Amino acid sequence: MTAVDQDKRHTGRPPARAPRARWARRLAIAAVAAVVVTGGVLGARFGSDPTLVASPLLGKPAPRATLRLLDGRGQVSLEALRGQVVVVNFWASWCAPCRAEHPDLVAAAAAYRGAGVRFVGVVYQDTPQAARRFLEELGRGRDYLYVTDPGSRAAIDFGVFGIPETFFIDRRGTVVAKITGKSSFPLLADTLDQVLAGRTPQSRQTGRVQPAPGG
Amino acid sequence: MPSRLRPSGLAGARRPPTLTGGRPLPVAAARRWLPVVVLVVLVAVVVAGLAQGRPAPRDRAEALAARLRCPDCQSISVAESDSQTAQAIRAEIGQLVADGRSDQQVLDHFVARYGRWVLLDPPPRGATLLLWVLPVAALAAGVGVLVGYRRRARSPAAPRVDTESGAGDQAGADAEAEVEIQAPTGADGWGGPPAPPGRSRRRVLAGILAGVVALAAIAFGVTRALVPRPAGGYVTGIEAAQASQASPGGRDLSKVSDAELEAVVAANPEVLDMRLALAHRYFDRRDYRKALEHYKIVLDREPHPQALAHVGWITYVLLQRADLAAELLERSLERQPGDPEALWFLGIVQLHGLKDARAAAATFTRLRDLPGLSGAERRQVDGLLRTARAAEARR
Repeated sequence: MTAVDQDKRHTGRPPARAPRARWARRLAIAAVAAVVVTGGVLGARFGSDPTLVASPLLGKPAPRATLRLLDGRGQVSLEALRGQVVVVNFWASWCAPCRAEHPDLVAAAAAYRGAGVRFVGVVYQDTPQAARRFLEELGRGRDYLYVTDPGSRAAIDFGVFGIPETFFIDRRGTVVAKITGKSSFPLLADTLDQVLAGRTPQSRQTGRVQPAPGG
Repeated sequence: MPSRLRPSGLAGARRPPTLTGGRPLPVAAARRWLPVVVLVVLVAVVVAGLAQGRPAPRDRAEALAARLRCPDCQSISVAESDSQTAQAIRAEIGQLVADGRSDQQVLDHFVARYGRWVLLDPPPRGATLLLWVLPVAALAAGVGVLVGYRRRARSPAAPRVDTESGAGDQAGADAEAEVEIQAPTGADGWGGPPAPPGRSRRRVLAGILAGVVALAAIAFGVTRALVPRPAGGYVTGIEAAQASQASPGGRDLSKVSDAELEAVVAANPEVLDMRLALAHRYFDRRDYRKALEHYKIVLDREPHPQALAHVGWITYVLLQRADLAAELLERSLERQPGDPEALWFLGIVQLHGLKDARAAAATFTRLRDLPGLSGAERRQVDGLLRTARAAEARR
């Protein structure tokens, strides 16, 4: 025990360490409060859907894919369709929004057939039988290419989260737009008009996508 | 530094002397050490659990799958999911690994398709830096709270130290010193007496105020940094469809006066969207001459379908040139086949201008079959179609 220490105790002056401890406490309270506030702000977003993400494919060359036709024999290569505007729609018979958007897709395919737009419907994680039944019930579009994607290779290359998702590829083979969720005729027509005019449309979100069953 | 340790010894000595003449009873010592032992055991259990619960991945492909988020699941990795997509991704990882790609190349492969979202561990930069900083901040806060708590618990007893500094307490005091040293935050915990209360009140108030201001700043900053996604809106914004909703500058066009818009268009003659908006405005008000002026400039640069359709209609109404009007409307429809407005105009021009009821009926049929018409619109088109068919029958 040194004399100086004794002296401090007697006079009751705070030793050098005390303010630091006080500051530590204040800092701690501030940090706790900051954590609580940040947590609260982030937590307030729990209602929003974190699966809605912009596609990194926009502006990039479309993935190469060669897909077998759902009906009959033959294959469709996306590269071979270059020079036309291609609309790639991922769908399945188990997907409710796909059922709702089907007539609009068929109508848009018919309306833009003369303008050099080709629609490709990729069956996503579904059996060919169920997919064919779906088309027999709701009707096939004229010149609409329905193809299968065994092993989901094309779906992964397109970065599909759930369906329906619709990608627009321009004449040069660049992905220029994406509709996530149910599409509609006005939405498809608007987007196609932009693509045909050589402008870059945008990616749209129309609602939630339906992930695969048992995911 | 023995002299530094002294105060702690003294701090321990401020407790009432024990019956054994300063030596703490075994029970008391056990009580003292118990929390430390419990803490160590708990930490050991957690560490052991973590170490056992996560078996080492069998190979690189599995390790990579564990770092990728399953696209169609809820917050689990590709390695943990049995969804078809996860299986397909695992197969693709296996292929890429077999091709000799590096870990980073494999991860980049999937980031290029799904975005950074697909990485389970967000990279410590940008907005996701917060995720890495927050836990550290929380830990620091916890330590700070402990320090403060200890200090407060000790402070009131401190003045007694002076009278108790007998040599007999030295052994017990040394035992306590050991505990102090082992405690992680011991260094800051050895407080002297608290600051005189008179001085601190103002400082406490200032501290609270500063805290509130800091909190408000943090809350404000974080809220501004997070942009809510528009309901049913879009994620990546590029020019096109905004034109129909808002002006290119993001301002609501309906709140801009004609004069303002004229000035802006005059200052930016090449911004066609703005000029079109102005022309549409005149068109909607049937100020066809002014509208025509701007549509002409637009059409000089690009055969915009809506401009073509509107000029076609103006040609019919103003110049009574049905043939030219029909031609312009046909050209508009070539560029935008499903445009209800152009179809409508064309049908009218064919019916009343060209007196070609058959063509008009065909046009109205095309218009009626468009999805997206409202009930009232559809009824109106049906009426027009009936008129056209009646005219056709009369001939």
